[in-house]
Amino acid sequence: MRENYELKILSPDQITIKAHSLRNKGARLSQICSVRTKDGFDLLYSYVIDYTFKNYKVSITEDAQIESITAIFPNAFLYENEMSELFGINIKYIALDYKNKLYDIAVETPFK
Amino acid sequence: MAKITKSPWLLHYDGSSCNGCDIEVLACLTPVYDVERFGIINTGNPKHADIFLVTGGINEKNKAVVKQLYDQMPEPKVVVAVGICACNGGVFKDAYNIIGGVDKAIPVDVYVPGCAARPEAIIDGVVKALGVLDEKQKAFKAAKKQKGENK
Amino acid sequence: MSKRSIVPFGPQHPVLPEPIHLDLVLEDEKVVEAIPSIGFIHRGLEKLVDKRNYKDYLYVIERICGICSFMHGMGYAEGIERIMDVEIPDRAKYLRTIWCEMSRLHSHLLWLGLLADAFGFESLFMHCWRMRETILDMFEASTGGRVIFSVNKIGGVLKDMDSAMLKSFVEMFDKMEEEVKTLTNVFLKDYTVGSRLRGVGILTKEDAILNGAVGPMMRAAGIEQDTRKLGYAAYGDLDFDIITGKDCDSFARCEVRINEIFQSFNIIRQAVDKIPQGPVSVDVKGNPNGEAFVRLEQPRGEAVFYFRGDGTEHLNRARVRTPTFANIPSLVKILEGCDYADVPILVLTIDPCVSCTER
Repeated sequence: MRENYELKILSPDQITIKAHSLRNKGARLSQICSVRTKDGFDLLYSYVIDYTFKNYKVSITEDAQIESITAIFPNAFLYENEMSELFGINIKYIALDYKNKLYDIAVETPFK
Repeated sequence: MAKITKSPWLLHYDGSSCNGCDIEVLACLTPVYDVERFGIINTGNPKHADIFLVTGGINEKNKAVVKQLYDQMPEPKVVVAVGICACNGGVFKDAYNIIGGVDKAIPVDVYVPGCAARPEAIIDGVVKALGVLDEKQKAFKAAKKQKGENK
Repeated sequence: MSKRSIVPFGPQHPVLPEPIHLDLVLEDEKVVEAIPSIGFIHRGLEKLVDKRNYKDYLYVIERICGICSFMHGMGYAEGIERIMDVEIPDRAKYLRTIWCEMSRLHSHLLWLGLLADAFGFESLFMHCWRMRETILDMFEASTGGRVIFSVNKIGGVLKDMDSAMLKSFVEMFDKMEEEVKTLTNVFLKDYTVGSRLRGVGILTKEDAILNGAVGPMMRAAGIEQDTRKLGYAAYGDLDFDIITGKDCDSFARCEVRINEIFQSFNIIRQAVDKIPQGPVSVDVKGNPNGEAFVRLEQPRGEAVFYFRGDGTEHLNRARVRTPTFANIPSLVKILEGCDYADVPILVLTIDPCVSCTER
């Protein structure tokens, strides 16, 4: 049996609003990841409420700046630092910002 | 193996491996394989160790740590590279953050291949390392003696 | 206020089988803050999709971690099967379930051993690892490998287990169960073990959700959630309860894992009873085009896989969010306010798998 999950599209300015409303519903932040597309990145935010798996896709351009959700979900700091280091995504207001030294890799933004 | 001249102590460090080899190194120390019967003890302190077991292909951040551990070990010392990625990078060779083998960071004496290296192979490698250790010890003593005569 | 000092912990530490670094901010003997720093094992495996085709990448993704190597391979196979809309034979699903539970067994026994080692109970460590060898022998008999199995394939599994082998496994598990019971009684009833674990590292239900804890970490806080209940592989046909703890401390996490060992024995027995006959794999042609999420319950908790293909033989993106990565914020949380001497135990109670975390 395969899991039925939802995958919805969000605009970049809705990221924090959605995170707020999900936190109020008792959701857990499951993961954030990004995918390189032709002219930018797709960010995928996944939340879990009981057994429902909710995913939100945010398409951004290469030089766009997005807002961190660490103020809402503190565990987002690892995912956001990972994205900014490996993909070079510009994220502001990360609670614990490693300044691109989370993995401390030798190459610069290998996934960009 | 004719005889062992001393009870060597091991230091084990995971140098960016998949930890499969690390588990096998630990499995060597536990019942069934049990290298402790040769007098070999796993230590956590590099200053007590004679043999350094390194697994994995070493990444950029780990390079300095491995070097430092190696420098902290007293002479004579032997390095065993456990697993194919410790030998030359193995399946991770093309990955961007792997330097490709322990010998790119520190001098290696014994190579143990396998993915993951089997406990039997690791024990063989350790026994081989004992031979190298004996030779190094002899050379070390001879050098020390000569130094004393020159004084 | 007393003076603050920073003590570095790791990357090389006697209690850590793998390198992770923590900067512990201490006030006398109490930890007030812990700042994790990872990256000692980051290899960049997610990027290797550019260099290996999607069939070969299965062998790379298995090597993310040597403990749950089977489950990483299975997650990848399930993800690609979902994108390509391949339905695998029922027998393959059951075989995957059996190997999954065997992985859980050996992982939990390994963890119990490391925990015993962390509080200095060496003989208990040796006993746990001796039990674990029996399971590794079974793995070797059925897949050919002790640690890395490479038995998954896109469209099923590569090896079959005949009924004689399955029957002998169940007999071995019956025998093992008794031994494991005596062994785990030491963890559950021994006074000294209890004194190191009880009341240490409390992670409340609210904190667990807020910090995104998964697996036994979450269930020990009383949250009833087990990804196996989604019914992937053959779990939908099997009957099992979700194991939870109530004390939210290290002891509860230990108890949850111990109970999961016995649950795994039961699941394997059921699966062996119900396993249907038939082929174990189907042929897969073409290249993946599309995207899919897959969630699995690994020994350490929920793992999230995401794959995207664009119709070529190289995937566009492979992403694995491993359970330890999700548990690190909880580790930081439980370290705040703990005694300095309890740090090694607390690091171990999240069951850290650093190779998974950093990929």
